[in-house]
Amino acid sequence: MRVLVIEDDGPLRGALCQGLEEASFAVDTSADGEEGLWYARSNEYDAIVLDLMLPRIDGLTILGRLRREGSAVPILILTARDTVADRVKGLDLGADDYLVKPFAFAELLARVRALVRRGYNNKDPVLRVGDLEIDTAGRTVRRGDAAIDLSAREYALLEFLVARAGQVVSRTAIWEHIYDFHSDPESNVVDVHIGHLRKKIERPGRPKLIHTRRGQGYLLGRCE
Amino acid sequence: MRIVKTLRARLLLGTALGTGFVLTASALVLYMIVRAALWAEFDEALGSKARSLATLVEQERDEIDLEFGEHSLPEFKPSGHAEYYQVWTSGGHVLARSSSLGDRDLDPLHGRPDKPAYKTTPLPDGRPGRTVGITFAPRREEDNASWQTPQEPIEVTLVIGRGTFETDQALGRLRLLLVCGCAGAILASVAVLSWLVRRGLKPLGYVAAEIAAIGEASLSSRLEPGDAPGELAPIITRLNALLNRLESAFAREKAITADVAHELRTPLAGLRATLEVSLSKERGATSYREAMAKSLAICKQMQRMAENLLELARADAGQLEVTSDAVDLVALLTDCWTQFADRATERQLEVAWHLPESCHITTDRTKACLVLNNIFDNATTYANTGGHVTIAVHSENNRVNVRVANSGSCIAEAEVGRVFDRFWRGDAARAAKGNGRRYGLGLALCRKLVTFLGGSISASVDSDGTFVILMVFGRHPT
Repeated sequence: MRVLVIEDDGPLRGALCQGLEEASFAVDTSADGEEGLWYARSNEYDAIVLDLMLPRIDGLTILGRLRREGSAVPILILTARDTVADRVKGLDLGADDYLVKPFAFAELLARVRALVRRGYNNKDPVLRVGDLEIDTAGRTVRRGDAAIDLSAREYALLEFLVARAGQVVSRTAIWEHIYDFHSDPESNVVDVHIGHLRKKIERPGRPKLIHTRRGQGYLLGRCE
Repeated sequence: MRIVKTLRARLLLGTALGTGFVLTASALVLYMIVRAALWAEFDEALGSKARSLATLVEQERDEIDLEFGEHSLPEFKPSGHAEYYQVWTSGGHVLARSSSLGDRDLDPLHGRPDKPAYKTTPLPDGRPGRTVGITFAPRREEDNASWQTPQEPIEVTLVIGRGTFETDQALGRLRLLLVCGCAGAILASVAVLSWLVRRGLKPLGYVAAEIAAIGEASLSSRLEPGDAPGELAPIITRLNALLNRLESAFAREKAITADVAHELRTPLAGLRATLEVSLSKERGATSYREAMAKSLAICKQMQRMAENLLELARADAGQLEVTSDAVDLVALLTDCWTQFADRATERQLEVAWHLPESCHITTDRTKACLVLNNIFDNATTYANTGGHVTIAVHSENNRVNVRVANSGSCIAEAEVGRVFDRFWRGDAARAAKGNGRRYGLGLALCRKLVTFLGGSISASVDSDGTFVILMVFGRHPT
């Protein structure tokens, strides 16, 4: 899942980026409002973490513009302002959640995960496809009784495919949601990771989970 | 008078004493007038009686004949309220005395018939009384005068005494009446005055109650002049003005506190997130070291903010300690620049100096250095890469102008006045990278310090985006 962090404070931005990446998110960051808005418009993010006091364009303006343009991306506002009026204003402008600085990083992570789930209409943090089970909170994967150990990137890929189980997902879509802005789009890294993932989750004698649709992309789930 | 603390008591005491004095004085004057009139009337009656008795005294040859008898004048007979008379010849021989006198004497008194002599004296029976005395030549028998040798005139003294009980009693009654009347009037006036004073001072009570109701939480309320008396209007106006100042001071205080709390939250969030992310899993030593270095950098920034705030608070409270030395401004500028020279080179800034040989100002070296450091820090941070910084000193008359300008400013002309506001940061300050977080305190502190040092500081932006800080100091007298 891909997240955009728009925050002008360097150390905080760095820590958020590192923490989210370690939690298997693809993270783009921006230190000012103008650039942040450009990022938000040019990519399909699964969530945006948005600071309010930003240079050039402030957070509430970004929020208002994105919503006016019809963007439904889940947005979590991160700010030092903590009055009820501030929260109400942010939420009324279309924010999905609000977190006041300073915060516990684990809470931010949980809120971002919840926002991402909501974006895919999942309420249950445990995703199931057949006998495949993914606990998004604990980031554990099981098939039947067997636990499966995945790398961060493999987990991110599987989580994205499971979130869209039953739908054909293009390589571009995978690219956009699993890799951040600085990754090289020319490589065949998606196919490589799909190959690794297949090796780890497919079991002989069990139904095949990841299907290739030639010219379209991949599909996870039962093949109709 | 110092014991009487309340305005009400003072007013009451003052007016009561005044009224009492006026009433008492009036009563006293009235009493004196009535008393004088009563005694005049008494004396007039007594004098008339003496004169009319004198007309009844006759000289017949060498004999003095008294032609009045006590049968027609019963008041001279002995009784509880008897009157007395006694007649002497000029030789002191007693010619006659009233039967009421018995063998006692009256004191002789020598007045003239047209101006009798009076004396207040106890009567022979001990009652208080008054006597009148006239000395006169009695009427002579004229019929016999033609054929007899001329008579030698004989002078006779007549004294009449009368009790003054009735008059004394009347005066006593008058005294009682006046004392009671006065006392009553004073008491009544105190009651009325007390009511009037209470009523008159009521608006003061209302104002006091309104002031008492104003607390820290209700500083926005104001006293209503309403129908308050004219004397209170200026007090109410002044109090409202005081409340205005108080409210804005409190608001400023709250805003600063809120700003401080707000500004501390972001670096704290950075610190906490850095540490939490670092601790979220087992890592190598390098990774921990990196996290610690980042945390330390944040701590240093927060420390700088705390120090700036403290310095500002001290300046606000007038607790800054400054020394006044002759400082060579040119040397100071070049000294302070040293630590920013690397950054200027790194950012390819073209630095132009316009300095005289030397220029002495009277100032505090440490504080002036702090100001210059802040200004150089801003100039080298906000100048566009490859831009220019100009530092110029120009002195005229007794003033020294220091001008520090940098190119590439993106502060709008309308916003330039705000650069000295606490916690105000332009977009450039928010986006500034590499030199740590900016808190928007540097220039606020500069202004405070420069003002404290007796100088002035202003900022402006040229149309080509050159940001200029101009400071004016007093020249050191040479």
